[in-house]
Amino acid sequence: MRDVLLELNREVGIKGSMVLTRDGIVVASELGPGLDNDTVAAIASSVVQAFNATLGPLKQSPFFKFIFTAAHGRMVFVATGEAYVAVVLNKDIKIDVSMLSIEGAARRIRNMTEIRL
Amino acid sequence: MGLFGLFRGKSDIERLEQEAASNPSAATLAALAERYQAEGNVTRALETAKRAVESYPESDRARNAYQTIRRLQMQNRIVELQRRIEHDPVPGDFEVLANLFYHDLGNHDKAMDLIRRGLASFPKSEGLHFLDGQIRFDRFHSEFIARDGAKSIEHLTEAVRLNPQNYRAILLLARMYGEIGLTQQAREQIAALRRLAPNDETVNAFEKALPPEPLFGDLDDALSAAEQGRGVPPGASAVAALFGVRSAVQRPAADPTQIQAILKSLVDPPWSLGAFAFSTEGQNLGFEVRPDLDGPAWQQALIAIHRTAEVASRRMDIGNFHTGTLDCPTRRIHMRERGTLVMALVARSNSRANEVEAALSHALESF
Repeated sequence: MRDVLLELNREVGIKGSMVLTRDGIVVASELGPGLDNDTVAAIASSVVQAFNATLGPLKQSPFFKFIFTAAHGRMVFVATGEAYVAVVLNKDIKIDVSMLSIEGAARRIRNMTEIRL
Repeated sequence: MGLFGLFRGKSDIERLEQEAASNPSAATLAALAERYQAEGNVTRALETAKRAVESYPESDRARNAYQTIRRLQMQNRIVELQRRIEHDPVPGDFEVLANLFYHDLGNHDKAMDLIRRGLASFPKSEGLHFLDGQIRFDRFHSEFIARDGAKSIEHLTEAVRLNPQNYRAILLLARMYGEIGLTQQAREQIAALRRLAPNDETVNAFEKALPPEPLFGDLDDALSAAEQGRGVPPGASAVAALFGVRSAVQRPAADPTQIQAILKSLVDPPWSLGAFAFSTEGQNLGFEVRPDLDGPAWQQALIAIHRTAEVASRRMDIGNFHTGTLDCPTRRIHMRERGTLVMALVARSNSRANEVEAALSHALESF
């Protein structure tokens, strides 16, 4: 799983990535310089849990994908079976190209977890 | 380029020039700049890209075109600096390259990445601390996020500790304290400026503009107040006026009738199930939904989702939330913030993202 994340991180504009379960437990993490593992894990975990808790009563949980852009960066969450891949990106890149790589990595991680189960 | 390609290129440029004259949109200007660049007309490429960025400062298309053209022009210098950084770096290499990305290419992310890498290897680099403080200072003035202010002060203080003669760092530090209402700390920096430049008129004017008494007890309170008010506190408005500092956003005129009319128009398209408006503070400003959507429940959920994203964004140190797309089992949510107004659209999951985004973007331009 770490190899998949390391390969993903080699894409232009990707600063780090991690895999976490729906209940927010980090399974694997590869973050670049300037990204603190505990901080990113706490943030990613709170997004996944809070969103699914909010969307549950509307019958829209679990969510598949969340892309958000802020003033100085981007974050992407993509569901991969029972888990999510969370990715931190630069803002000044073409998100369409990055999404292909992120979704490819999510598929590979899903295949891994399915084989293990 | 062959003869045919040359003619085609020229006709493309003429068409784009005509379009840019009659309808100078960000996309047209960016396309024209790129065509000039492809034709080797570097001066006009840069002029046009600059015009695109100045006319449409929020356009990603314009900014990307400008950055690409500038980057192409500076390619050799960038490659050389990157090579040195990879093999045998000195602090100045990080500093020059980060400066180039920040000031010449307007790429804040890349500049900050370089500074982080540089400071990891050279933690006592005055230049890198100064640049970090300066970028945070500029970021603070664009969105007034407390963390940017605190980091700016931290790095500028370190730059001054490493070089007490760094006039620019002391001035920025004095401004930070003065603009957030910490009069005493600002005065200490002003005294340091006076020692370096006793006859500086700006410093005299600055001291006169300071609030006579501190507006807050400590740095945390002062920065929190700036973040909540998204601007310089009213008591420090004379300092803000002296340096031309504006509040982060102009509050949109939240005319309920106008908002309701726009929400209504956003529910018309076949892909749309509901349109919602609320303030960044979570105040409900209205919604329009199709009969099969529970409006109040969705409004409440969307406000909670926005709040979570906003908090995540700030904790990630990437500034305020601007836009988001959330794909759910049978719905897709698009959310966009403009100033203190947030608009969200709940669309069918098979809707075309660019169509929904365009509608949302167009709606927000009305404010």
